[in-house]
Amino acid sequence: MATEASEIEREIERAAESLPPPETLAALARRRLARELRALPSEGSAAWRAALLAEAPAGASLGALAHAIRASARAGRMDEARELFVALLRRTDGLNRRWVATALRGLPGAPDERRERAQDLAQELALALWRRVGLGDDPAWELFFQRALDFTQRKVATTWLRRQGLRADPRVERAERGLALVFSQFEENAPETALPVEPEAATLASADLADLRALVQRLPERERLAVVMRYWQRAGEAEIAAALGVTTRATRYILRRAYRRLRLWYAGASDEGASDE
Amino acid sequence: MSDTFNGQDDGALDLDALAVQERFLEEWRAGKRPRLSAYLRRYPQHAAALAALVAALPPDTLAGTAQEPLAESFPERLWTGAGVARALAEIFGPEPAGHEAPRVAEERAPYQTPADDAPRDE
Repeated sequence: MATEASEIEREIERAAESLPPPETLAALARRRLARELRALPSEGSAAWRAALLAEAPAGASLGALAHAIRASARAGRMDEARELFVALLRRTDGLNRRWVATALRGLPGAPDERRERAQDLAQELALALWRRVGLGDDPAWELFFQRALDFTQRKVATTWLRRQGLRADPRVERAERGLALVFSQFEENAPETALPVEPEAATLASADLADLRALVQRLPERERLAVVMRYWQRAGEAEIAAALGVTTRATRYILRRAYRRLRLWYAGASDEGASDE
Repeated sequence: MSDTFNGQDDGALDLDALAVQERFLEEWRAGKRPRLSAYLRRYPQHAAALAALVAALPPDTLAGTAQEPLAESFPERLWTGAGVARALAEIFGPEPAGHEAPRVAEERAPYQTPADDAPRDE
């Protein structure tokens, strides 16, 4: 057992050592963007616009498009900025629709009302994007556009829901659905491998996955990391223990506490008692 | 929610956290099954951002049984809808006469699998 744990520890160490420092990753992204921008025709020309508006995948990256929108707005070429900004909204429409569906999931309302809410959210997001991409100067939007978009979508949804008097995670109060399958994989004495999942049950699990994601984000950091490693990556106790720098016994305790907290939240209760053993 | 964010609402995002997330995603997209444990060891300062990213991906516990269905997608295009039109009017003023929307293809979502590619509403 101890040998297995130390082998896992060594594997993690080896994998970690192969990862470059964050500043190197950011520098690589900078170089990639600079290369792409250099390859474009001169800024503001018709050829430049055409290159930026070209169909993907031959077209510019979203980061280059963000760069161009900013450049156009700064130069006061607002018609051009508008055209490029609309192109950006169109290219990210798939991501934005998925985000809207997730944000509105679980909210009550007739179809018309949901459509109106979706349009409200789309408006909020477009305005937020303009502030960040068109007016701001945060390089994240040029270097890691999709990650920055993902983060901003979450911020916009949370703020919007709060303003509407709605909870950011309404499922917390709506615990009527059973989560037997999800929690069967969390059982304290379950073997290291996941239980077999029937296709029908997998659908249930995936439907409940959004609930689980919302709740996992509320866990204290160590419990959150342990649950994400255990459920999302099927990590064993030894791997989790090595990653958190604790013993396997402590890992079991952390997981038990997290599951108890999640169960209580699903039941609509506060997390009082979650830390009791 | 301070996982990749520095400061106030319109403040700068944490470039290093985004770079680390992107590295993880690149490996994941390439089917390399990167381990969160190794990333936590290497980048402990970005633990929250990494956990949020991994939790947004389909869990390995569903692998080999059934693919996680795409989250219920919103069927209507947003970029041509009333919400975006209102935002554009607020930012740029009324739409110029004779203006035509540019034709640009949507980019594939970062977590999209080939099976999810089928419905495109271009």
